Amino acid sequence: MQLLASPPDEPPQTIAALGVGLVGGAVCERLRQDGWRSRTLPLSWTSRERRATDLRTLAGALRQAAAGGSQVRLLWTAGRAGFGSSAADVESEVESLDDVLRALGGASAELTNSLDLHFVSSLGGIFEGQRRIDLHSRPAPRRPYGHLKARQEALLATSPFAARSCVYRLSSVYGAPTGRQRRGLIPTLIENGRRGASTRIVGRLDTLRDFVWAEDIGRYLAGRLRRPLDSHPPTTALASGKPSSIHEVIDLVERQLRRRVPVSFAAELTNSLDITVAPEALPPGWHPTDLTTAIGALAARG
Amino acid sequence: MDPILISSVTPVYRGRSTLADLVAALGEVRDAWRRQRLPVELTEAIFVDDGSSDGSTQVLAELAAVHPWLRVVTLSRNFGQHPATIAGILHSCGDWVVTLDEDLQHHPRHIPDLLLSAVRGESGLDVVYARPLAGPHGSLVRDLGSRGFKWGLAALTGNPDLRSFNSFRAIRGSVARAAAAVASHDAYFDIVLGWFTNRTGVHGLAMVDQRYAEQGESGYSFRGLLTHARRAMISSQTKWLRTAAMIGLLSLLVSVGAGTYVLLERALDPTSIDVRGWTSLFLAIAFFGGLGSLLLGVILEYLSTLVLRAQGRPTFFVVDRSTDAALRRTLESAVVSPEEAPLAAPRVATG
Repeated sequence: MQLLASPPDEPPQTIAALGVGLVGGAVCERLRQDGWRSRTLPLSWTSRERRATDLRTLAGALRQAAAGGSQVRLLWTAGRAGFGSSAADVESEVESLDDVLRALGGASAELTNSLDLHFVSSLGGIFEGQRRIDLHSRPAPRRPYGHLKARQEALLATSPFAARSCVYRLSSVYGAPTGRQRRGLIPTLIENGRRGASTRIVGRLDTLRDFVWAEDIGRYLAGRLRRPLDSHPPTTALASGKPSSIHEVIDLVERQLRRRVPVSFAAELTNSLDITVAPEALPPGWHPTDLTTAIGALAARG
Repeated sequence: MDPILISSVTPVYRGRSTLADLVAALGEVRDAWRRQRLPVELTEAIFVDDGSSDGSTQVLAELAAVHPWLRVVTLSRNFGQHPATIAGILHSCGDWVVTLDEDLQHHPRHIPDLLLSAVRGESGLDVVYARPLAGPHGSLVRDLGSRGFKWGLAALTGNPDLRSFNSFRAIRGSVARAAAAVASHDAYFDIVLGWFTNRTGVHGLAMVDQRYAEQGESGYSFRGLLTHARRAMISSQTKWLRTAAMIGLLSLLVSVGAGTYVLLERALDPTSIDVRGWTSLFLAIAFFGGLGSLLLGVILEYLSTLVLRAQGRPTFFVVDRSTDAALRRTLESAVVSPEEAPLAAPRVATG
């Protein structure tokens, strides 16, 4: 967990980033580039006892910041679950969010009334198999991961922070992975393509997805986190608004690498449903980078 | 059952005067399907603003503000009709993509006919082109010119399908997007479609080029036609190269045969050749000329393979036609435009 503090030339703000994977890491990186100072606080995802202790420390730090006149925010991007996770896998993640909400919600009335909570959810998980998802689309999760995200959103809506929270539903996020994060299709294709190794695809060539660059998310959320939630809609879709087939992605990677990228297809297509987003569902001020440019940038980074 | 989604794609360059009518006509198709509660939906009408300078941009913005199913993709400059169509297709998500011109020559009321033509047969088609029942320009010279251009180009490229090509087409969404993804800036989109499918058909329709009928000018200039021809040649070049290589091989074989004959004649009857040196010189030229042509053909064939690979010609592509029967039942149960009939049974192209 990262605790970030604004630079002196900005209004005093403190952001606790729970989860520093692909999305959380991109947000923190963006804030650091803008002069924010960060420090790491412990937060156990495996032991509830240790987590309770860690959350008390966090609540104390946020209370102290709020008492010092700083606006306090919490960004939740945590979670290891993915489309392939089982029902048992996702249960602990519901529990983790519940623990955080209870710990911070019960810490003090001041904190409850001042903490803005920004929750990152999954558009693909909640609307899997739907095309042209817009503000009127009905959530219909199909697998444990989707149900996890729907339950977490529901948990947030009934928490003490319901009135001061915002949910961001992200489509298929890609970016340069660090550490042991799930890599996703595009970085895997680039990495394997460079090595001449084959990439196993669990969808179809014509499966449509909406790919969005982690750095775009990082830039956008870093801006949103700096502003109070008053004028924000409770739920925001962050996607490119352009469907891309797996075939198109492979072709783009091949063009950037200037070589053939070997692929093979899994016998069981466990991730082959289309998920696309209507452009009108996207918020004003959100300008995603086109896929060609972003893949080019990722491929050039080596 | 999930509805079958249809996307329409229209490149826009000089469409200010016709766009409102076109969108209204698309809206009628969309509303008719909705009224009949059919499991098929015109989910999006994508208009690609191809660097228009006649005020189309403003018209599109106004129409998009009223119709949420209308989507405008704005290109950074004028790229031409094919690249604009490709851009639109790459922004689509429909199970089928229907491409149509901005000038109402391709009337949206024919969209159900095109789709039905694609799925009516036992083996579904992946691309159906509209074929004008009569000359669309209403001018014998212009229509014959257009037809002659296509025939000539088909003969030059060795691609008989080229005669059917028309910018009013229904394409299976997955095939359309795959072809659009790999089509380079110089590729002829319909020829690239042929890299992914040979299930191509035609559907006869009455079409009128409104712009030509009203203003006497076609959407295609002579320069535009030349660009079309160049793209078609570049995208179909292998047949040319093979022909050149075959001529080289033939020349080589003839020279070897003739050389053998002359040598035998020289050995068996030395007095039969009066002029010394001329025959051997001629045979040497034929031999090395043929050898050179053959080797050049082989090299160009290799080069062509690399070019087509660079252009994105696929090793294979997978297609799902499982919803065709449902679409056929749906469209057959719908009210269809009565005045049009198929020109012929859909034709499945070969090769």
